[in-house]
Amino acid sequence: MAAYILQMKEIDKIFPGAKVLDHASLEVKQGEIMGLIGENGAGKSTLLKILTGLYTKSSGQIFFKGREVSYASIEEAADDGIAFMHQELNIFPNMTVAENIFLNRKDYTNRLGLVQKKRMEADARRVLETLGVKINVNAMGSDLSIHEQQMVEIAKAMSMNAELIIMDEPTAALPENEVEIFFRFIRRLNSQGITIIYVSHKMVEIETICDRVTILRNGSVIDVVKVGETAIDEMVNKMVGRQLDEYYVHTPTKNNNVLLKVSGLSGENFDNVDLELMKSEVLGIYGLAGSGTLELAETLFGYRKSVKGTVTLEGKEIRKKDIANMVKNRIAYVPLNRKKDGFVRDMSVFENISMAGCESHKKGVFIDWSKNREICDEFMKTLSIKAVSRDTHVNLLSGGNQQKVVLSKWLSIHPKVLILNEPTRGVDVGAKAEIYNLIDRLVKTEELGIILISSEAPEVLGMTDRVLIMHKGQICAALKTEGVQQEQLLKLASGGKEEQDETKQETA
Amino acid sequence: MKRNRKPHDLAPFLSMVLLFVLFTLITPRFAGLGNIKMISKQVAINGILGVALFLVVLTGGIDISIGSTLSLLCVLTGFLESKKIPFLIVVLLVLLCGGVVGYLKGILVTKIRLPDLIVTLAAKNLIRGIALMFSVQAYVITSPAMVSLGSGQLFGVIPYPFLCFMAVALVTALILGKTRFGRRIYAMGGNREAAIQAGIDVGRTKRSVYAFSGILVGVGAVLYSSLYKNILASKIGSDTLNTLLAVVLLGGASMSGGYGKVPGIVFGALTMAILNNGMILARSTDYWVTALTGILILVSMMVQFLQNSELFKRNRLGGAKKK
Amino acid sequence: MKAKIKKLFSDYNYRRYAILTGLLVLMLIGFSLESKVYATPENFTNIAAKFAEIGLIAASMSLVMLTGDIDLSVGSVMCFSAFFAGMLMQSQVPVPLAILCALFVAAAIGLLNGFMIAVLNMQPVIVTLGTMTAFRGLCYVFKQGGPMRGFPDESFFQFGKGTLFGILPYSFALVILVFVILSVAMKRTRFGLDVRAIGNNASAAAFSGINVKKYRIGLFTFNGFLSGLAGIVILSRMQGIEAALGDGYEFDAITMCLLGGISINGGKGTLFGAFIGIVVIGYLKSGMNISHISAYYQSAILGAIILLSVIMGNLEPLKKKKEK
Repeated sequence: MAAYILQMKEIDKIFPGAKVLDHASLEVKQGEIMGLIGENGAGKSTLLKILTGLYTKSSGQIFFKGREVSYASIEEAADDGIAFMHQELNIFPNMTVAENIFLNRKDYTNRLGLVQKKRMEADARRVLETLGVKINVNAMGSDLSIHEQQMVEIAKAMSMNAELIIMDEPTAALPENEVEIFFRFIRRLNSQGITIIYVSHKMVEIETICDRVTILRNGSVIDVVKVGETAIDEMVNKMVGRQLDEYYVHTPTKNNNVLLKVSGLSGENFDNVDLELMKSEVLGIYGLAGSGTLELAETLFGYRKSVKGTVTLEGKEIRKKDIANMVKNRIAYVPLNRKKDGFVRDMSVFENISMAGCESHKKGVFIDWSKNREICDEFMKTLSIKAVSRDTHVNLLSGGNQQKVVLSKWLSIHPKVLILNEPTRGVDVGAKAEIYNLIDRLVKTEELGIILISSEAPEVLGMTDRVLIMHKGQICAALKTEGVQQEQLLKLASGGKEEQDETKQETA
Repeated sequence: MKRNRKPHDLAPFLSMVLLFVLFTLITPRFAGLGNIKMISKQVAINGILGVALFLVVLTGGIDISIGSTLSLLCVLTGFLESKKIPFLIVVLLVLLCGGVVGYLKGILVTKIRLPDLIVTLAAKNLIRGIALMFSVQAYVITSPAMVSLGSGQLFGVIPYPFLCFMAVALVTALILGKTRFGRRIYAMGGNREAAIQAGIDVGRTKRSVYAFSGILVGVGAVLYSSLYKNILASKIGSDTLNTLLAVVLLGGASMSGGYGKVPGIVFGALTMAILNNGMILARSTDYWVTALTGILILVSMMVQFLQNSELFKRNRLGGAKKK
Repeated sequence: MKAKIKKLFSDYNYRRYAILTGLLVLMLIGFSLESKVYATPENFTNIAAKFAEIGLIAASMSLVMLTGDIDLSVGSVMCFSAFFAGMLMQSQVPVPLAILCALFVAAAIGLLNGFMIAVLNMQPVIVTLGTMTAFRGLCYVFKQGGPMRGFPDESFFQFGKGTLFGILPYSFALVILVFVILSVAMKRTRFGLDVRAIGNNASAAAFSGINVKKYRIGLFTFNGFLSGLAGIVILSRMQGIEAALGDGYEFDAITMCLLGGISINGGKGTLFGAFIGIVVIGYLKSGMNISHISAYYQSAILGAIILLSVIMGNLEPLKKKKEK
């Protein structure tokens, strides 16, 4: 039995208003590949950020190589042999590949403190060669393709001679055929005795590469299982939690009135998308990170420019595709990054809610603010937004209530099409249920259609009538949601082909 | 394989050559040895200050208080000289003081998280006020060491101020290109988030940059004093910022940080010096120089925009543009 | 009652108003000890006339700053528009037409700024510094650095000399009018909400259907326009124009806004605050002149005021963050 190289014991992390980690423990044996899975917001990245010193823990202990540690920075962790490969690509556009790999490394300076470029280049070349990739070590960061950037990131982690490498969704940007090469490479690293913590949403990858898997849910470790002994389904169930099933309250609706028709829409990172949204329908769009769902949504809402294609609302084509015009046509969008794009943090609940629809109540040329206040109070009541008053700044609210503020803003214009992009991300379970309830109520009582974009399979399966699956910027399948299995979604979304043809259905 | 050189890396050099040829055609006197010596002397101060501003710009910031810092340090030089303090100690004290002033600006920027612009805007007034207080009457530089620094020539050809400029440029280029500190500066200017992820203490780096930049302003102040010999705070550095900004922009630095090299700044400074000298030789009023400086700033911003948009199309690595 | 007062003080803006009013009272008492004329109506008329131009600029500058931008070209644009109007008048163009042309040119410069900043995505500081330098240089070109004096029709000088009720100079009445109109627009239409939203979080504002680009361009244009208007006012007050006039006005206008509580990062502060800022700075400068404080100290004091008011505005959110 190999000894534990890393033991994180009973880690707590409390953010204002939320306990993100609750006695979470992670124990990794020397030389194994430990998978770490959990839904968004389950606490995976918080746990890892605590390990590498980006966050401080509220309580608990960390042992690395048998010694209790508490790193103050990534640099310290790296010096001790822990390398972190981030999900986001951290490439410096203004530096060469070699510099990107060896930036800020003490061991590449000579006695005078001068950087040894030649040695950097030689070593970079060597590292890239072992990776089996052909990248010019003198190419600038800005000239690299996304895939090359990923390889440079990997090379960076490799070059540190780390004993433990943390990989956070390392294949997110890799093309399918290169994942296998990447795995071979991980195995080679592993055979050299390097321990790996592998974070991924893709269960197929977890199954292929990991020895054991730690499953996180709502900040706690639910279970640690051995791959091969536990079926994937069981892991997914543990990760999602069976009790969540009952939150998905949506019952299918039947309506064949086409509300929104998109044909041949192309834009950045997605191509030739056709879709139809019926009245009173929840249409799901399921895709993994980077599959183009974000760009599609933002283009539909007019934030990004489309290259070609048409958007038709109730039979009328919308020619001028900018946000102002989309809002005028009563198309609303709840963005993915709530903090950045959803609300204005230093403004009040009232101001945020009235931002979109305040002009619909006017007295002459002036806005009727008291009417607007009434509307705001009404939304706060019906959506049960928990805030001291309507003048409370939105940054003081919890994630769920912030999301309800964003929703209220759009509901105040009585939208015809409501596009929701990961509406329950970073939202606690209670608010999640409320949002699902709201979605169901809206499509049944209001004259609208909802497009629900999500990377959480249970959410898509539980809340939608039909689902489109996106992969590499294309809609690769369109299914009636009823009876679809999670694995089917995952497989399609990661580029797998549908096996049984009878489940394939027309887009209507 | 050699690093692939982009055509616009050469732009600072080419614009300098072009301007030189242009003025030679207009006034033959322009290319005479005497005038070239003159230009090389005139370029020194703005060149050194340009490098000082360039350092701050590399991190993505801006320092508009360089002119007033120069006047303060000149006054200090004059004051120390009038007390008959040995030359070397004067130089050391002025450089030290410049470093401290710069470091203080850095603290305000990083610790209280104020924008560079506003800190240096306030600092500009504060420092100018202090400089004026200490310079009720003009200081006159008389010490032989200072005088010979300003008017001496190496081998009777190369003016000392130009040599100083070259030395500063060389040392800065070495630090930027060859040390970890220098690479950190480029890193935080190029992708601040990634720099933090890579474990770089961006706050400390920025403070050090401000201190380094302040030291260079100190060098500029010593040279200024030795060249002009008559020091009155109110006359120094009030309109340097525009020229320096033009130097940095013509030198090919990106105002959003991370791009630009010292040689480019040297050519940028030479271009401005040639412009100034040439316009006056061509008997134009120097009012046009001011107007042209502004226009040059706008034009180089445009050129940068065009380059960036080409870069942008290829790859969305530029990150968030505003805020 | 107590709770109500406490609540008022917990508001960033009201706290600013209170501090500034306190400061004004202190100055009125303090400087009056130095000179009897300080707190008189005549001195008010004096100050009001002197600060009307910067006041006009501060009005639109505060809007530009509320959206998180900054405009350094205002002083040059003011001077340039005065020269431009004067040049037209000297070449026998009727006064109203000359003024209109000058205002148009000033607004066009603002539009140029706005276009480069909002559409081409360039940094406001650099762009406006460029226009500032360019147009300052052009001001010198008009008369080879000399002043411009003597116009065929000098009736419009009356505007610069006249007062309302013998106290309020016309020019300052104009400032008040501009502030009132803008304040009403801020409060009663969606203009205020939009501007503050853009300054706080431009991305979220855009995602709410606010046309951020249009607003930024529009405000820079308006800022150019008001700077041009300030140029006309100064032309009529000074009965001529010099090439160096307005140098540093951008700095004064920014100081007034910052002191009045407008955050340098945008989104925070009110027009009313900026207006009090104008009055306080006006009285401060007048007081310093009356007490013969040298220009050197004045410059340092203003620098310190900027720093203090910005630090005050910035420390509050920092403190809040720490509490978390």
